[in-house]
Amino acid sequence: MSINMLAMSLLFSSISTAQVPVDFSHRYDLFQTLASNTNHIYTFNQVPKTFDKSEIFVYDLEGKQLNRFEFQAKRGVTFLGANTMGENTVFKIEGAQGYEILVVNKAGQEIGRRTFDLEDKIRSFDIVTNDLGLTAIYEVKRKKVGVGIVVVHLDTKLDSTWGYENFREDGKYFYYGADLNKDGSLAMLLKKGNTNAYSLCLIGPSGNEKALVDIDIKGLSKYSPYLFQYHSETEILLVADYGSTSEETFQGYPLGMHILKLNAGDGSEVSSSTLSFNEVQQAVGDKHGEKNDIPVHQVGPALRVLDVQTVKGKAALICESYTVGERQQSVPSTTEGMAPTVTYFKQVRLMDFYLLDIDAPKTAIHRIWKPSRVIELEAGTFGSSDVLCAMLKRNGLFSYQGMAGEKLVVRGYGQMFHYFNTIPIDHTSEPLKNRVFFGPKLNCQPSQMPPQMSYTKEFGSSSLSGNLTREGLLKAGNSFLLFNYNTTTNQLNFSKLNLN
Amino acid sequence: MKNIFLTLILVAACAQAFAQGMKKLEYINPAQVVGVYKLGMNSAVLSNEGNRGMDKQDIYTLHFMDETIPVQEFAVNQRSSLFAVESSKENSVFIFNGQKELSLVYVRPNAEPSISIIETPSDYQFHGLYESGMIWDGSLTLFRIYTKLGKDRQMRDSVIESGLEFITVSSGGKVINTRYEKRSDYTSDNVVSIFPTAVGMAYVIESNSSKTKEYSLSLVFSDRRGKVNGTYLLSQANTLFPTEVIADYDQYVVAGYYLNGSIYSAKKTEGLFIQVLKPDGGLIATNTYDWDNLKSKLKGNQQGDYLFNGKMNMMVESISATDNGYRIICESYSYGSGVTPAEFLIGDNSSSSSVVSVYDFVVFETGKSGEVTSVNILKTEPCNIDVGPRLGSRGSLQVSNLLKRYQIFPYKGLNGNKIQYVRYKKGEGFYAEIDVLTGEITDGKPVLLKPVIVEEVDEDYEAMKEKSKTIDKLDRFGKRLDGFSEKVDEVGTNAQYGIEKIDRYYNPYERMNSGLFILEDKKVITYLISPESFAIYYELLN
Repeated sequence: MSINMLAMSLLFSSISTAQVPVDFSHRYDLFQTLASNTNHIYTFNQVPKTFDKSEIFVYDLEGKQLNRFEFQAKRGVTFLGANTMGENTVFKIEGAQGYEILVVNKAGQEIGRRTFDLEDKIRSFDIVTNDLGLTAIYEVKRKKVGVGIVVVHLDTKLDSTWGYENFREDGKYFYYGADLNKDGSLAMLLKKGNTNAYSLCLIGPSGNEKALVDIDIKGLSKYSPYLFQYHSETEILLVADYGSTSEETFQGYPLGMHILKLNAGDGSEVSSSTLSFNEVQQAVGDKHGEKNDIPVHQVGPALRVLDVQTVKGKAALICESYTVGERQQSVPSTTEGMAPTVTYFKQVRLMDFYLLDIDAPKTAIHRIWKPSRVIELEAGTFGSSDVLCAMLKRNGLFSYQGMAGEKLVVRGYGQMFHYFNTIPIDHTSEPLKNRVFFGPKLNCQPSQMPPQMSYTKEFGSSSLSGNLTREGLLKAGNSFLLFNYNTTTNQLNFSKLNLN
Repeated sequence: MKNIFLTLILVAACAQAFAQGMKKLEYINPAQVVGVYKLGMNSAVLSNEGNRGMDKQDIYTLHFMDETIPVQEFAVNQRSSLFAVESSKENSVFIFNGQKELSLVYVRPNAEPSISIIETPSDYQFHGLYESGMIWDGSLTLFRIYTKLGKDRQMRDSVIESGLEFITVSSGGKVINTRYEKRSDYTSDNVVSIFPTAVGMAYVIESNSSKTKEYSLSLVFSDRRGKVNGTYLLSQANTLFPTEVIADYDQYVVAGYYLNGSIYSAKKTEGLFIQVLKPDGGLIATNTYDWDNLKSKLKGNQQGDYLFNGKMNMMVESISATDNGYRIICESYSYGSGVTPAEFLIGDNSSSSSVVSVYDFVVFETGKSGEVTSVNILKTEPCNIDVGPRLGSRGSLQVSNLLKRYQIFPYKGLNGNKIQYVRYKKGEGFYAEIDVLTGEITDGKPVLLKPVIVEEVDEDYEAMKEKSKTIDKLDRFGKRLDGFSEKVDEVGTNAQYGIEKIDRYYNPYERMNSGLFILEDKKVITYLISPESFAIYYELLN
């Protein structure tokens, strides 16, 4: 061992007092996007000191590097996400040749690559996968025909097996979301033009249209679906926000949620429930007054469904409550006589967990208290609560991170640091004594309660759709991994967590 | 080579920081720290975690300064404020004044905290506590005023009775006695000092009427269940101010200073008194010594003119039984505005602060009846403590009690024949021990921890710096600037000290960011709340 190594090992053994030991560490001079699925952990970032190259690093579920893939495009490369296809991961990018997928096996080896191109003008592109293959869904604008949906299904060898097109004379359909069943059946949620109306399109495993039906949204205004997935072999679950606390666009937060179960065979309604957030507050929310019966909030905090789990044999929606506010910050101009620059911050205050029975959401609502925290996004005046929530979810910034057995795995802020914790599902509050802290100190005032973190994020597409966070938890298969990008040492650290 | 050198320096710095056993509790936001407390044979940091609206509770976490004890958590009714922390060897309790109730949170190192709530009876108005004390077995005495509500002749809501309430709580948190002492008209009754003893609680009550200029001071003895066994009137021809009381088998030994006449007529302290009393308040022996008399009993060729001049007070810190009688250890102090001649000369004499100047230890050896047989002065460095302006409104005995309770005086404890004490000079404290018999003083150990905060570095940047002469020069220039700034600060501090002569600041209404405890097992622990590193550093000094 060299003197230097000896000295360093002595140093780190003496100061290593962090609560979570690091298992793997990787150098990143430019760190942008990190995510995981049941097969891999992966990062996407621009290659340092280049303008047209990007790279994907693929790691196993413990954080050991498996492979690196480089892409080049003069106008930049956009990372669109990744899906699992059996034990393989399908990476989606938009590069020099348009939309492209790269298929990587469990060992990190490339096993397929395909470019998607159409004669039509592509307005949006998405893929959904299952163990048997993948389905590419385009929203296109066809010359002299109009806007429609084009679907192409590929098998695991990336060969086309069937296609489907939907161009209707009776109105435009915009693509909103989709899910693929285990047998290859496809369910698509379509928005009917720019109206407050939605349709369900069901396509069989061989590409035949089984149903295209309108969804009864019960006349709810400002209807905004955000969860659309197969709930079972025979049922599809749709959860949507409705209403708003503000009449102004991009302001306020929803007034309630609509939980809809649809028949996966013909699209008919199986069950439909609306849950007003004021009802939730009245039932289990904070109250004050002499009789302790006056709700604390004028309008009950909104609930966002983050997961569907089976709790005590019943399907339950795991929700986190939140409110949305706005803050303006005026920065005086450095030029005399010029108006100050006003920056708008959206503030999402994340509060408690609520477990709802899908079939009877108004009864036996189980609330789990946790310390609230505020996430502030420099978002201009744009960004509806739905957009903000989607962004928080994508960045793992909601407190809920998943389940470890019968416990909720959560992240939060406490004592001015990030922490993770577990909450037994039958508890009514988070046990703060069990928190495990990690990462650097928060960039807010120590006396500020609840603590808040500010992130700068431009809305809209960007070739560099980087992460907001530089630390957090990853669900890696059945376990959890802690990641923390140290901006001083430029190291991305992985720590495997034992949360059971 | 430079890289190796840098790394070795870092290792050395680190080793220095941790070699003496300095440890740290990480991830603690100083802004949330309520305080650091002695809990029997441990000490811990209490942190406020905010409010839980769901059940209207304020949540606290307790972080022990011992890495083997896990963090604890408890919740009390919202808007409750921490009043005091009492502890004995085996028992520790956090006492909260709530809005309508008292909450007692009992904590032990490896057990879940348990909470006892003391509700206010429906026909009484709630009052918060103003004094509390715990005896060795964990039983607690709580003091507060009470107001009984009722109806007047016109059947309107009215106060029908008020006075002092004494609540005795067992070590398990159960109220075993509540006693109400009705206040007489036009007087203000007040418990001014309490003395937990081996057999129960002793406390001093003053009754003061500014209208009639009547003042009485009494010493009350109660047993472990809160039952009053006896009372002794302290304000007679002389007014006795006890600053320490102990129970020795079937008698009490009481010591303090005394005034000639009442507090309204006396102009200076007259001397020391030592009394032996029966549990029922009956007098067994009384001894009063004026300062001249005490001077004559000084051992060897000691001069006590400065200490025994009538302008000094004697704080009795401990009374312990010896083969021949008792040993009484006192600290001599004076209490004043603290304006120094230098401040007077430069015109900066408008300070409303009060300064306690503490001088030498004085050890009195007595016989079985409390008669002084010898006086010995143990010389130490004098120390000026700025206690802020707000203490000035309190009476002398209350101030003495407060300073003693919060261990603001240098005296910290007695370990065999050795006084454990901390002497402050220019803001820096040194822990030392002085032998009562020989006067020998051990080497002082600094109390204020100075952690070396190791910052993370980017190895690539360090390598680049090593190759770049410009960056290296800038780096060295930066370090020189830092060194210069430190020296300027030091000069400023010395100049300020030269004018103000203040060795230590103490404000009972502010949290102390550093301090020292002598635990029940006589271990000495010192701590520092570090806002820079969001950690609490602590170290055992013995």
